[in-house]
Amino acid sequence: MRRMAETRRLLDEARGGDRAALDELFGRHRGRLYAFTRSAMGGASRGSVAAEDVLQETLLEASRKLGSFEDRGPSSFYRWLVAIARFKVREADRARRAGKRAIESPLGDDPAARDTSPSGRAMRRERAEILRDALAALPGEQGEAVRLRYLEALPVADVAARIGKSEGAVKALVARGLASLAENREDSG
Amino acid sequence: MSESLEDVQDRVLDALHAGELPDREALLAAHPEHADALARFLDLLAEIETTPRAADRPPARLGEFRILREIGRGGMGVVYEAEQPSLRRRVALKVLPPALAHDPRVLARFRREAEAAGRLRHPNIVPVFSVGESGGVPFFAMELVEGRSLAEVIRERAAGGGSPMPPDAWRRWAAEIAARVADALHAAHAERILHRDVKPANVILDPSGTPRLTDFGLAADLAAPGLTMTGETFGTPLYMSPEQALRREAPLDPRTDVYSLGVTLYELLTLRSPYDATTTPEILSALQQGLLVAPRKLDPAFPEALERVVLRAMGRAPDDRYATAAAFAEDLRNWLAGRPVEAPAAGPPRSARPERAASHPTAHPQATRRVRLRVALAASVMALVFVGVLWLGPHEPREGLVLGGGPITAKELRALIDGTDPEGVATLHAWVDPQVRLRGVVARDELGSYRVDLGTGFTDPDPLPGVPALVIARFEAQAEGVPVRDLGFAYAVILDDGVILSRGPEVRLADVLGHAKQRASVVVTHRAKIRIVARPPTLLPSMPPSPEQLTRAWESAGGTACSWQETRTLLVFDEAPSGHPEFATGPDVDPGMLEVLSPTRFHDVHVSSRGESGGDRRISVMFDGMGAPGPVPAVFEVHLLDPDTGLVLARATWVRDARDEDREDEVRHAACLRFAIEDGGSGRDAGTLVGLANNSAETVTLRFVPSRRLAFETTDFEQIWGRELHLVVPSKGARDDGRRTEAKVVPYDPPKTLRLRDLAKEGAPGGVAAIGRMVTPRVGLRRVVSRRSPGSYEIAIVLDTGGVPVDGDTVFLALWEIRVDAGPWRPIEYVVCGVGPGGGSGVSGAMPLERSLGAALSSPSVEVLHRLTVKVAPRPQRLAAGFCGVESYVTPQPEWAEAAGPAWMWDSGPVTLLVYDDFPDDYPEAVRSDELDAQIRTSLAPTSGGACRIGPGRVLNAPFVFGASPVPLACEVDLVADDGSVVGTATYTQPSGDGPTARTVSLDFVLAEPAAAAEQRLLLDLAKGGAIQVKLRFRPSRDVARRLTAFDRYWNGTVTVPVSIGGM
Repeated sequence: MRRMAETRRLLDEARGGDRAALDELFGRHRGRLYAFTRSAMGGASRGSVAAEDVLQETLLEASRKLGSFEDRGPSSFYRWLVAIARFKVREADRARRAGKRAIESPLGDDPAARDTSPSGRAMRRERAEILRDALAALPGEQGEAVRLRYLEALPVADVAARIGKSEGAVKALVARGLASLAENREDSG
Repeated sequence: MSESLEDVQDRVLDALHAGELPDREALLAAHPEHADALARFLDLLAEIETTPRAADRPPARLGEFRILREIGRGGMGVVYEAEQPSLRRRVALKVLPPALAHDPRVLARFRREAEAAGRLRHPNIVPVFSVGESGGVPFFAMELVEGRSLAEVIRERAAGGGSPMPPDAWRRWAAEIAARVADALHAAHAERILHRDVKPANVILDPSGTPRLTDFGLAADLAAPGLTMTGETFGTPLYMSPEQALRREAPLDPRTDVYSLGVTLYELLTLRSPYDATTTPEILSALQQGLLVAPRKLDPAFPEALERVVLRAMGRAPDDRYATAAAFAEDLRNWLAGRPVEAPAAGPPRSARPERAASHPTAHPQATRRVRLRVALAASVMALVFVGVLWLGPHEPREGLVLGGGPITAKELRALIDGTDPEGVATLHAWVDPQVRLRGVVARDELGSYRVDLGTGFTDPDPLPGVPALVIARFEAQAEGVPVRDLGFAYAVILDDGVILSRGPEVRLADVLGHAKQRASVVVTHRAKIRIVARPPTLLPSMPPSPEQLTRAWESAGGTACSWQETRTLLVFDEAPSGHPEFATGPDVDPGMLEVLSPTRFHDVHVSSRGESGGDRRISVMFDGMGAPGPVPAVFEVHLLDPDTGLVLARATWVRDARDEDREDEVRHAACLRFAIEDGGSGRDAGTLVGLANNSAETVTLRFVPSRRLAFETTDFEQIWGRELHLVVPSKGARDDGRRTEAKVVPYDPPKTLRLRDLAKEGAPGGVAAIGRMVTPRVGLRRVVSRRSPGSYEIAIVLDTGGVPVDGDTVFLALWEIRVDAGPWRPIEYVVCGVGPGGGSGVSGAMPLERSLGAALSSPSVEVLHRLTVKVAPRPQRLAAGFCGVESYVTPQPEWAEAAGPAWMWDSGPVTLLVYDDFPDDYPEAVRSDELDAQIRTSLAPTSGGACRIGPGRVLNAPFVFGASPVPLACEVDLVADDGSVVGTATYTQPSGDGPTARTVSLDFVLAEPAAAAEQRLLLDLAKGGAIQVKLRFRPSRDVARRLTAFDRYWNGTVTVPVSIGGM
């Protein structure tokens, strides 16, 4: 049983300084945003914690700038996060090219908790990582459509304009792209 | 309504982007044709969306339980499969998600749930084994039930799968299942526990086929009402009873569960929802109107008796249903056994009869009108709760309560709600008394603010019956020569019974007055438009709604409820009075001002006598000068006192006439009071009264008494109204001249500022004991504030009388007001009260700061301004002679306000509290700000916001970032060159609104002509492209800024900014 979210309430509470609400709000987007970060960082992030750091840095920045977020519709909060993440990815790229340490220490990540995860859980987590990478590497129009529509939360019409297809075709591309991920996972898992 | 898989999936993506968690069950149920593909799709997304963050991973252990895997997750918690080694059994552990574990309301609900469920023992109820807490994570362990939920069973059969049971056998099986669940519910009801969330997903069929009711997640103890008053609505509306979904005023009782079980049985029997509705508003509307589809409409072969049983359970009104779950079970078993069922064939008079329900949705016109309004209200409420449901259907949520058209009185409003109003739409004209109170005078350098009291100002005393409402006023103000400005919202949350639960923030005038500062006074014209909307559950009473929420509620409320206009004169002072923000009557204020503001003159006193025995004798007093231009309370009492004895002879209550608003110029500052002279007085008062009644000349005293605490708080009652007037009642001869007689008024002149030490002087007002000497009260902060747990102060205030014994009949009443100014400014005031005996003992009180710190917890420190009012008053009778304990806290009593008058004001100045991540082992007493370590100081100070740029027109743009300390309204920023010379100056002005939102500020400095040497060098360097630095130095432009923002501590420094070349 899942209850429907009260996103706006969370947002308002978070803006009022409620940490728990902020955590909850971020929690609802974190996984997808992480997938976006990995996809935006491309191969550079493989095998490193860089994507996770960028994600943390993104959320930290978002929490600082929460006051300047303008609510422009249901998906606007996530798109705002994506915009920050994109900026942070670029920042990290620049820093990496300059040979500097990429990112300051992240929000309260608890390293101890990592080690205490049961192995099954860790495995599932690993599978999620693989999935996210597969998502980032989905080829062709399908991959493009999935990333724009799902990871960047662009409206279908915008995606359609971007890749020069009809809206129906975009929906079908996205559906097929995600379905192919699901199939691959079943094959391997 | 079949939709393509792609479209459904696309909507799921939209929901995810909006931060919503897709309701897997509902989705699969809504699209059985795509169930398989959709399930795979949701699984995939769930995996991708699995958060990579450590904090969300399950702990390895909780108490003695070893966690094995996550089974499920709901709005209220995560369920894990876990092992209990001591008993070698597997259990299901329900744990609050960490994000929620800090919310006291959620915690309370969780504990209640665990306690309630822990008391239940029934074969058809999943038992709770134990309740515990580990590392701050509360959890409870329940039996791990393997099996499938009825929701899955229904879905499977709807898709054509599952057991090939013939319809007849299926119905018998379903009835049997429902009867057993009803047994379980009855057992819970006997323990005074409601389930409140009965639905197919919460009934699990264990491997033996036994139905087990689980998830008392919404259980409310029948014995603990009030917990549902917070405006929260839980559960899936599809299975809610009308009274639960539509939030009717009556408390829920077991019959709400009977209804939900009825829906569950309906679905089990027909494999579909009883309503032809998909969106939440549609469901609510169907619910209220009893628009359910009779099973026999769907399937003529459906047994008629069984239909009656199902529909009886789903009666629209609780009285239409089975009185208990047991009765429901019994009737089901009647049907199973082939006995006649109790449920009447034609349906009870007000129940949803199958035929009528299906074809005549509006059987009772009167009830229906009520229905519509309620539904509209509830729909707007529910729309906010079930945001996530909306994407399941294409329809927009229905509009909320729409008010517009002609005037209405409370009676008419009630008629509207009762459904007897012919039009069904009206304007709330009767909301005439929004009672704007000026909270303080406005200082030239200070933030002015209104305190707005939105009461239930109907012309008759009935509040909105049964409608938990949000009253919103939108204010505009106009000062002389300043265009109309939108001041923003004020609001009040009103409960079903008319109790005002919370009230909005002060409306700030700073913006308007910014342009009127040169004048000695400004006239501010207000306009308020008021709307009443159903209270969205998201606006919890404990939480100030955000402007965005109010805007939404405002917009959804449609037409204008009431327009109202008032003009006030505000006085503008050069500097905030010491007692800011209260109106100060201390030595800083011209005493003449008090005369202007106070009620002083009476122009007519008339005594009339009707009735033989004097039982109906009245004294009328007409007076004017009602505090113009000061605020006038909505209600206050005037006591007629015998000036010699101080005894109250008669009382009158003055109520502001609503109609005054329309003709305020004539009536506004005059009032006529009628004192009923009560019989039964004795001795001297009887004599006085008789004298008054006979119009013999007498002197009486009028004392103004606030009848409500609110008046006391919002109109500076104490200072302006809390005075006595000596009144000479005219002699008999005067009476013969007619009614208009000029009365001589001798204003009683109380001390303008009464300090405790003044009490020692001769002629101190009666009832106040003499005190020899007053020593400054000391405030000690007992606690620092913790980020994790609710912080609280304990304040010890010592009132030292300098060793002079104080009369034992005297107590100190100390009222604290605490204002917390934290990062984003959210001043919240608390008033606590302490009582101390005479004799130099201390007074202490503690107050929770939890709420006000909500906004401040992200800051490393908060500023707290204390203000303390100490009153010395006769000890109330109820504090018996033995009272002496300084430990005991006493709730402020209304009569203490009556004892007002003498008071001593004291302002401790700001105290800085440090906010810790957790309580330090031995948390220190208040840390003085000069002891702040350098790191914290740095985080409070402004820092560089990046490089500054020089642009055309010799303008240098320099950014800086606020620290966590309060930001001054205005400050000067100097641009300082290397050699210390100032090359430019700019002024920062805080934008209007709720405080600074952008933390980064860019200022433009115009470089002065002619160029000084330093400037020349600066420009030269810039022109050459050389990297240089400049410094920003902050100076307070006003004294108030210095005091309120601890300017000297945090702002008084320089920030070094690199300069880069570039366009701006």
